[in-house]
Amino acid sequence: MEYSYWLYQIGNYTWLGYLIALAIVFAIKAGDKSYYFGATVLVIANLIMQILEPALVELSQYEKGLVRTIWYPTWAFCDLAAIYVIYKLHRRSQCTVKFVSKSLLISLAVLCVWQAVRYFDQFVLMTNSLAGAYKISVVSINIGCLFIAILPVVTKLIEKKRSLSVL
Amino acid sequence: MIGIVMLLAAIVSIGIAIRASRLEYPDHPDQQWTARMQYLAARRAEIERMTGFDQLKAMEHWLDEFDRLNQVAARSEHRATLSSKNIVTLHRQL
Repeated sequence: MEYSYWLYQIGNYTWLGYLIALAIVFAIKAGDKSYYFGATVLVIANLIMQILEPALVELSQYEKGLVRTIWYPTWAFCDLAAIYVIYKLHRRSQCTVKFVSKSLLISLAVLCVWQAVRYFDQFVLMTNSLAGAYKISVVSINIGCLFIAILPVVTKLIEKKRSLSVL
Repeated sequence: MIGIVMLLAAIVSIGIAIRASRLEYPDHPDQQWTARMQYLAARRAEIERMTGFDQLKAMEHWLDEFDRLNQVAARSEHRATLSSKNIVTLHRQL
């Protein structure tokens, strides 16, 4: 199996994980407004990225130069847009950014910075020394976001366990 | 050119993330409302246990308190419900 295809598959499973996490949190009413803003934007942003990825790979067969220039900016733009939407939603509804949304914002900002770093590494400085680190860290951050997204469920379970032990 | 745009995107993303994490708003009006109603219910139960003059005095005090709470109430519709409903109840009790 090709490594990038494996990465894409991991991305698909991670996205599915986000969706399931959001559904579970919604079903057991474990999340607050801030959580729903953050998690919903994360799900939508990742869905867009997962849809764009095969399209860009396909385009690379015809327009290699174009893809070289738009590959990293596309992800950076998606991350930036997601950050902006989360921020705007919180501001519009006058809602404080809670732990989960804050963590997601930081993760998305790190991803955006990382895209820029990788772009400079590959196309500006031509060192290409961060390829491995880039692949591993992007997947790691995405999986980390999944753990963050499932956090309210864990908190709720712990609370329930505690309340049962008190009774 | 794209490098500069990428750099800008990275800076802006950090900026927005920091700005967003600093957003602080008081609790949602609904939560304030719940807390206020719980408080009033507790006070009412307390007053109901009193008798005669003490009850009357406590009710007067309660009405003052009530006005004060209404002044800080975030939602006008809540304010209206709170006043009319509870004042009618109070008059009935008197």
